[in-house]
Formats: sequence, structure tokens, C-alpha cells
Amino acid sequence: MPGGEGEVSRWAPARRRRLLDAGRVLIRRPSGAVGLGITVALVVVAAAAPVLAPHSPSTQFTDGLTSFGAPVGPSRQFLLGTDALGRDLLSRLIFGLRNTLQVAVAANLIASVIGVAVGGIAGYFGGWLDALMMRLTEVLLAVPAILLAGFLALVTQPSPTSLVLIIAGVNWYYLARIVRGEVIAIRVREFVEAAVVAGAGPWRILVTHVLRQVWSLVFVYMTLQFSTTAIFVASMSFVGIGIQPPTPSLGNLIADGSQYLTSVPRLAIIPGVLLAVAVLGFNLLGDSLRDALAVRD
Amino acid sequence: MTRALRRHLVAVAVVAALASLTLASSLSPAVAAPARSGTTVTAVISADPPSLDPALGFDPISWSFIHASFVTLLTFNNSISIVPWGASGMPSVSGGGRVYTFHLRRGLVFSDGEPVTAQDYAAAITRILNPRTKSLLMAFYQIIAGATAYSDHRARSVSGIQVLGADTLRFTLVRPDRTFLDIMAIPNASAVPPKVIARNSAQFGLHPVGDGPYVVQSYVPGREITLVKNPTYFEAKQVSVQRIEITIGLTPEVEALRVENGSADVMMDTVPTPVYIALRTDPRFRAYLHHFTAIADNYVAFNLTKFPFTSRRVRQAAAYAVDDQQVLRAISRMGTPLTQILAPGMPGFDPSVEPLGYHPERARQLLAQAGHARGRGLPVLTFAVATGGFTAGSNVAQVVQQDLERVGFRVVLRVMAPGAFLSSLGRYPLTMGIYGIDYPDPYDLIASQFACSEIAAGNNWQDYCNHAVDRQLNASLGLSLAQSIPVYRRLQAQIFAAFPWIPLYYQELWYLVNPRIKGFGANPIWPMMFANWRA
Repeated sequence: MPGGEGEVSRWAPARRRRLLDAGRVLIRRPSGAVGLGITVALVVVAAAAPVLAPHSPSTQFTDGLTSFGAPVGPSRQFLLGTDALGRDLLSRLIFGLRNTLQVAVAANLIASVIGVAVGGIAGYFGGWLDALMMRLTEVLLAVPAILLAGFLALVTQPSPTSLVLIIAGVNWYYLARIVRGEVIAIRVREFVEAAVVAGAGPWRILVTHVLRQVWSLVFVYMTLQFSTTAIFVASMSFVGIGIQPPTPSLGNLIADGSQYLTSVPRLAIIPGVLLAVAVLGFNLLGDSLRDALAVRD
Repeated sequence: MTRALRRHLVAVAVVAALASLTLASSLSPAVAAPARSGTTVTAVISADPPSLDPALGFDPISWSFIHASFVTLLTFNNSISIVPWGASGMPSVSGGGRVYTFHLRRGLVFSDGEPVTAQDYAAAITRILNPRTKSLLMAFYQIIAGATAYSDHRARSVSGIQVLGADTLRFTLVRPDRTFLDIMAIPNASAVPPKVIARNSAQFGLHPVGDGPYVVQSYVPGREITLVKNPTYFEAKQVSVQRIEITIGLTPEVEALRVENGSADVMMDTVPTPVYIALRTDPRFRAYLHHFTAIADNYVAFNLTKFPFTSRRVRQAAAYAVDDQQVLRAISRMGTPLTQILAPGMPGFDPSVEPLGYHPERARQLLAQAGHARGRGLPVLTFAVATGGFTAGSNVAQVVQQDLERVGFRVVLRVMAPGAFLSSLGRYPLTMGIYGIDYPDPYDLIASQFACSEIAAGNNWQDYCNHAVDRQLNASLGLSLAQSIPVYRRLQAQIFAAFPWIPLYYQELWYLVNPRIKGFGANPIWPMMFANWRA
């Protein structure tokens, strides 16, 4: 029965096979393997931060500053030295990475859900609903995201939750446009018409038949968007409207360290390099995923 | 909000752009030849002075420029004593301390050739009192009889200002007030040319015409200010530097690099802590560094009207919980512990008063006595901090936060831009505070921060109100400075006994100046004394 449970169960092995093929292509490509390696390593470090960090990221050690108040250099106690308040830089980096990734992942997931929902509904139902949603999207697209996010952050009480919601709120537009375009193309295909003839309701068709066809696109977009979101989180922290001190993030570590560029350059350079490596890893992974999935499609 | 806004104006924007990382790293801090030879001096500053108009500029940087291009009847010398300048001598005082008569010195001329008269000084004060000018200084001069009626449009002139001739001016006050001489010595009391003002009052700050040592030759906001020596200034022979070129819009880090590599002579902003760490031990720059202790208080203000700081015990506990030495290390020891309201350099400062000290165990005991053992029953306390140079910044706040949490408080930081910070005053239980003097009289530091009337004005950040203290403060204005000092010492002890603050430090300000510039002695009230520079 087309569109019925039997068909889904017959499709499942094919999809698994396709995934496995894509995975093989991904790993065989050097850039894909590097991207995957970096991403996995960063995720492991972030997840195991409480175990890996040698100290609490917020503890100001009295022996973490010289008698004159300058940060101390790398030592056995502080492997990467300390920051301007005598806190262990390595521990702050590890937790900064964790906090940045947490916000980036959560914001990205929420933005993707919104983007898929808006794009799917607009594309499938069309008409006035499509026009309304897309005009709204275009209005929001016309406002620079960082300015809109900055404004929202200033008028709300800053917290990790509000930060996630703000970043998600300004990052769903592009995906919505992409998904809408795909859905418009898919809704006229024969299997959708078959589902309609079989009596499936529009929401069921949208969720179980149409959106199922765009998952790889959404997955690739999400992976690529991780790097953008991580930079977004860092940028907001850099200008003081993101993750608030003393909680570390890559952005506020770079911001604090940049003031010490001439006296203690490692305070800016090390978190800057870590952010660059993270962005590189996400981008390599995203690019390779796109290519791998595109080959199969 | 006048002085609260002034604090805003004092703020230095220090959020560095990512691009500056690249720029800063590409510049090598090697000592190089001076930027200009001869009598041209180049300087760098992070932001525009808020206003070059004497009626509007009310911050140390604006005052530096106004003091360079206008002449007040009185002024402060480098030891902050009041001395005559545009006046031929100190004013005669009569009427039981209510009437002040000034005589102008001969030879005062505006740079456009118009002679300066007593009427020009009267017009300047009247202009400040005119509500249309929107001057932050209006409250200062309402001590003059008839000023309030004029400001309220109930009179067409200020009855307490009388021009008795081309060179004689009389002020009558509503009550004896010693600090009137101070407000006649701040740069806002400068003579302004009425004809120029009448032509374009709104643009006067961009094209000021004065009678001081320098003329503002050009001012492009956000880019540069050029000062040239005023040949018509009555003491022009004593002005050495012919031309001062000031570049606007650099971060303090880049400013410092410009001076280090010789492309600028003077860094007009104070040296930030990270740069100071780098330069302090570098023998090449030993001769570049100049410093003095700002006459300013840095503290954490409790909101005395908000739980739990309605309790004196809780305030005392918080004050004892903060490690003053760790605070000093967070600012690289660019300061000394705050011991009292009257800062060093201010008449009445008592060097025998000891710092409160760091007593975490005592703090825990006090919290327990207040019913909050190990923080039981205490809410999460929001600690408001402004970004940039507006207050001590988030580094010191994080030290305070950690120390408070060690004894049982729970504190979250709320780091805000200066505008948002000012509009939040009174909302949060803890606020990082700084107060710099307007003029060197103890009354200014104590009354501005602790008089009941200053709560509504936005200066009394702790909402401290004691009417007995207010009465003594008002009565002290009729005393001489020497007579009043014991009163102020007693009052500050009484106020401190209520623990309205966590005392932090008196900040040392460091400036970076090429050694070829002589005569750089920062005045404690306005930092740049351009007319004293020699190159």
C-alpha cells in the first residue's frame, strides 16, 4: 500500500544503506576525516570538561598572579598559565569550549526546528500562509542578525537560556527559505499525490512524506551552521552581551585576552586558535557531508 | 542626574574590536623618534570630548580642552589651590559671605579680537542657568540669588549677578557658601563671546571662540582636533607649544603603541592595566610613564533599601569578606586601599585611618548573627557593573563576587553598557561605583554621594539618607575650609560606621608621554594642562 507502514518499513534498509555509503565517502575524503576528527575531539573535550579540567574555571588562585598582579606563565600547576585574575587558563578554555558549544548546539537545534517548520508549512500549504511567512522572513532577513541579537540581549536579562533563544531566533530564516523551496518541489511529486489519493491528511503527508525527503539537506545545513553559530556566540560574548563573567566562553576569553595582547599574548591567541580550529572542523565536516550525501542523492 | 551623567561622560569605551588584534600585533613597540620636531605635539585619544562648549562640557577631558581655550576668573593650580586667572586678584567677600566682587585683569581678548568684559562672564553664567541651554551645570550656579527664578522663567535676568562696569562683576548668593569660589574656578565659568553665541549657540562646541592659551583651529568629530597657540592670550609668551594635533578614535592599546613607536607624543587616556603590565618593567619606557592618584573613590555600593542590605550586619559582613589585596592585584596594584570618603589629595584626608581589612571568618560570624549562616535565606544578589572605564570593570567585580560567595552570599554579575548601567541605578542590591571630584572641597565628595537629595539626582547610589548628616553638611558651607575639616572627618566616620560601601581603592592613573614633552603634570581635576607643555 503506497504511503502505508509497509512501504516505510521497506524503505528503511535502503536509507540505512545510503547512510552507510555516505559515511564511507565522508571518511575516505581527507577533509571529511579531519573535520570529523576535530569535531569529535572537541565534543569529547566539551562533554568531559569536569573530568579533564585540572581546576575550577572560576577559582582565582592567590598564587595565580604575581605579587604585582600579572598573570603567571605556564607551569606544572597551570599548564597554560593563568588569566588576568589568576584563574587557570586551560580550565577556562575547556569550560569555555563547553559553554560555547552548548549554546551553539542548542541554538542551532532550535533554529533548525523553527526553520524546518516555517519552511515546510509555507512550502506545502502555499497561498496566503506562504506569502505571510515568507514576507515575515524577508523582513527579518533585512535586519543584520548580530544587531538584532544585540538589541534583544540588551533588553532581556542575560542568561544561557535567553542567549540560546535569542541566537535561535535570529538564525532560522535561511533554513526556512531553503526548506520551503525543497518542499515546493517535492509536494508535486507522484508519491505525494499517491498519499493524497490514499486519503492521508495534509499534516501527515507533510511530516511523514515530504519533510522526510529534506532531512539530509537539513542535516548538512545544521552542520555547516554550527561554525556560524559558534562564531555568533563568541561575537556576542566578545562585545559583552553573551555569556556573562565569570562563566567562560571562547568569546569572552578572546575579549579579555585581547587587552593583554602586548603583555601576555597567549591569553588572546590560545582561545582564538581554539575557536578557529573548531570553526574549521565544523566547516570541513559540513562540506564533506554535503558532498557525500549529494553523491548518493 | 547631572553628576551621574557626568560619570557617564567620564567613561572610556574600551571594548576592543577583533580587528585591533591584528593591528596591535602588527605594530612593534620599538622606541622611535618623536612624531614631530619643534613645537608641534601629537596626541591620541579614544573618543571625542563630550563638548568643547563651556556651558556643556562637564567631564575631565572636556574640561582639559575648555581650560585650554577659555579663561575663568579663578582657576586651580597643580596643587589644586584656587588662584586668580582672568581676575586681577581674589574676589572681595562681603555681606556675611554672600557677596563676591571680582575685578577683571586688563588685556583679556577673545581670539576674534573682541575685548573680554565683565558682561561676558555674566552672560556665560546666565547661559548655563538658561534651561534652553540644557546645561548639566545649572544646579551648581543656583546658589546665586535669583538664579532659580530665572531658570523657572519667573525673572528675565539673574538678580544676583550684577555687572558694575566693564571690569567689575558682583555675585550675591542666597546663603554663605564657601564652594562658590570652586564653581567659579571650574572651566564652565569661562567668559564666552555673546555675539558668537547669538549667531550659533548650538554649534559653539564645534567652533568655540575663547580667550585662552589655545584656539581650536579645526575639529572633525571622530577624527581629529587641532589646537594652535592663541597669540592674543594675555600670557601667550608663557605658552611654548605652537600646535597640538590630536587624533581621535583609537583604542587605548593602540594609543599606547602609537606613543611607544613614536608616531604620537601623548596618550590622553590613562594607560590600561594590561599595557601597564608590559611597560612597567621595560626600561625603555620608564621615562614615558607619568602617574598621579586620582581624587576619586572606587567602591561597591550596597542598596540600603533592598534586602538583605537593609541589615547593617549583613553589609558589614560583605565589607569584611572582600580581600583588598586581591582587589589591588586585579588592577596590577595601580591603586591603594580606600580607607575613607575623602580621597588622598583632598583637604581633610586623614592618613591615620586604617583600611577595613580582609576578615572572612568575621564575615561568616556576622552573617550567622544576622540569621544567614552559610548564606541561608539570602537571595541571589545581582551586582551591576558597567563596561569600559566607567567603573572598575568586570575584573574587580569578579574578585568581589568570588570573595562574597566564599562567605555565603550568592552573586550574579550584570555587566552593562554605561547607558544601561545608569538607567539601572537603584534597581540592584550591589553596584560597582566610582566618584571623582567636581572641585577640591570635601563637601563635594561627601554631600554628592551621601546627601538625601542626591538620591533623586542619581548620585547617591546606596540610597543613604540621614537627615542629621544633611543638616551638618549644609551648616558646614558657611564655615571656612579649615573650620569645616573636623566636621567632615566626623561625618565620614559616622557614614562609614553604617557600612554603605565595600571600600575598594583609590586609583593611580598612569599616562604615557614621550619624554621630549616637558611640563606634563596632570592636574587632578582635569588631566591635560596643554598650556604647560613644552617640546
